[in-house]
Amino acid sequence: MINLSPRSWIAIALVALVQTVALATMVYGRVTLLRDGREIVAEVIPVDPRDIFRGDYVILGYNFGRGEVPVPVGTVTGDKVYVTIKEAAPQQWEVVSASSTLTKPADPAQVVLKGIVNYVGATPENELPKASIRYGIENYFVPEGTGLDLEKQVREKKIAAVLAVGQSGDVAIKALMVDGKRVSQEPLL
Amino acid sequence: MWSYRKRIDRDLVRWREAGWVTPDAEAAIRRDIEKGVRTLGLANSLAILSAVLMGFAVMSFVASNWEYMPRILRLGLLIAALWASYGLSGVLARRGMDGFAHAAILLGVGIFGGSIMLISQMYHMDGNPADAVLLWAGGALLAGVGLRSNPALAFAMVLVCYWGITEAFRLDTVFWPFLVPWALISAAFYWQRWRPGLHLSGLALTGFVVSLGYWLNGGHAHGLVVAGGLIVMAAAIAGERLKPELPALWSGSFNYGLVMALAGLFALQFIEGPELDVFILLAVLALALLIASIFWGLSSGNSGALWLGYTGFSIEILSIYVKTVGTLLNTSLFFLVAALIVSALAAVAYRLHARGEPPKNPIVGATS
Repeated sequence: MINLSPRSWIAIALVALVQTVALATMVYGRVTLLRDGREIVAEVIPVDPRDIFRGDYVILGYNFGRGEVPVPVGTVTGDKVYVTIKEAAPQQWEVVSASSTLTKPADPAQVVLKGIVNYVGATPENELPKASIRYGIENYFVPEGTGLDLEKQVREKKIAAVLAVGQSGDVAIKALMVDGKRVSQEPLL
Repeated sequence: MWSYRKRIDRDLVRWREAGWVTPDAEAAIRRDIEKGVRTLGLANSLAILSAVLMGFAVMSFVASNWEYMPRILRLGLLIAALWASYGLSGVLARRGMDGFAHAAILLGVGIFGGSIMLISQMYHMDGNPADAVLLWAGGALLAGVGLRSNPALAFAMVLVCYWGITEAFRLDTVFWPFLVPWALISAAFYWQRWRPGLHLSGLALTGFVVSLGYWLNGGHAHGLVVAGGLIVMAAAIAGERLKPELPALWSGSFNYGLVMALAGLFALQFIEGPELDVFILLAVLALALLIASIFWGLSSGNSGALWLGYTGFSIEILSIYVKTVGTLLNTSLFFLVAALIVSALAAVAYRLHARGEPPKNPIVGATS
């Protein structure tokens, strides 16, 4: 920045523009996913029933993520996996299979989610290894000061997450449902 | 600023000896530099600190008023703040206030990172946090290269190190992709001819090589680290012979190689828990290496190697003492060994002294 010429202003504008585009891409990807993705409602397993709302976000657990997902042999922590799930009972989604590549499910009622392997447990004899998977939908940020209020509601009632699933398996949280009622769903922008 | 002062210091001596500068003029120049260093250095440091504080202020303001604003307004505010800081840097640079301009760039980079986090929070994105850090580092590198800002580049390196460390622990293995952004940022440091930045690169790479000892071969690859360090040291000595016009590069590489070799030897001796005979062999090797580097530091004018040698020697002796006291060797034997080594050192020092003063500042006249 020693010799400031008109070119420097161009450099400044370019840096700001590229960074703006990076941020806009993040937002755009999320907005299109939330708008166009297939909506499913999945029951949430509270990770720690005594203190669900830790600070200003809640940790959400799903029964298709925690510990018991059969993954292909040789899968290690950090690998990308595509998990096919189906709705066994209302809001009860269960794992059908997991694969390292994205394949369209034969049954249109099934949904494919993209996740990252958190850890792989011990492999039982003649069985697929069992893994814990993260889908990027495990944290729900709540407005400051409303955590305790929501926590009180959640204690007795059932909680579910409204998710948007894209064609590529990307998944995003649209809203939370407490006792069948949507809470704090915001407009996309 | 410091490197400039060091360099002008050397040049002034040379110019006075050549008769180009009178002693009065030399004194006047020195006074002027002294003044500039004090005022500008302090002002710039404070400006950088204030940029950091300002970044935190903006972020916490936006975060605390989050739920009262629609998403589009929050996004608009973040992007406006981003453009404002880069614009401010241009205004400040135009007024010749370079340090402040760099602080404004750093503020812009900070707002970029804060925006990534706030957008993730806004849309409940909970992917791999390391990916967000890598994106942030990319923005910092872009600002560093595009606006030729050393603080932004240094910040990019810090972010990349954080990224590499978290990914290595998450994946529980060596994280080789770390080397790609490391090389890019190092190239930018070199392109900027910024020596402190290159030291940061050296430090980061040293940390990476040392970590290999703990990841590879089930966590027992420290021998490889020692070998790597010795190779770097040998290459640095060879390089100094072949291309003596780059003394800073060679002395720096020598010192980082020394740190690698010592870290590996330390792990082999005190973490791996070897048999007594192997341990003694390793300890003798470590002490020999340390004495050699003290010798090398004295004879080549590499003060870094000298101080690393002294520090490493103290740590090594203390560690041997802690390990052996009351256990395998007895304390008296330890003191005997230490005394023998120190007398060897004294003999080396005596010989050096007898040869005359160690060469003073042999890098005069070389460009760096």
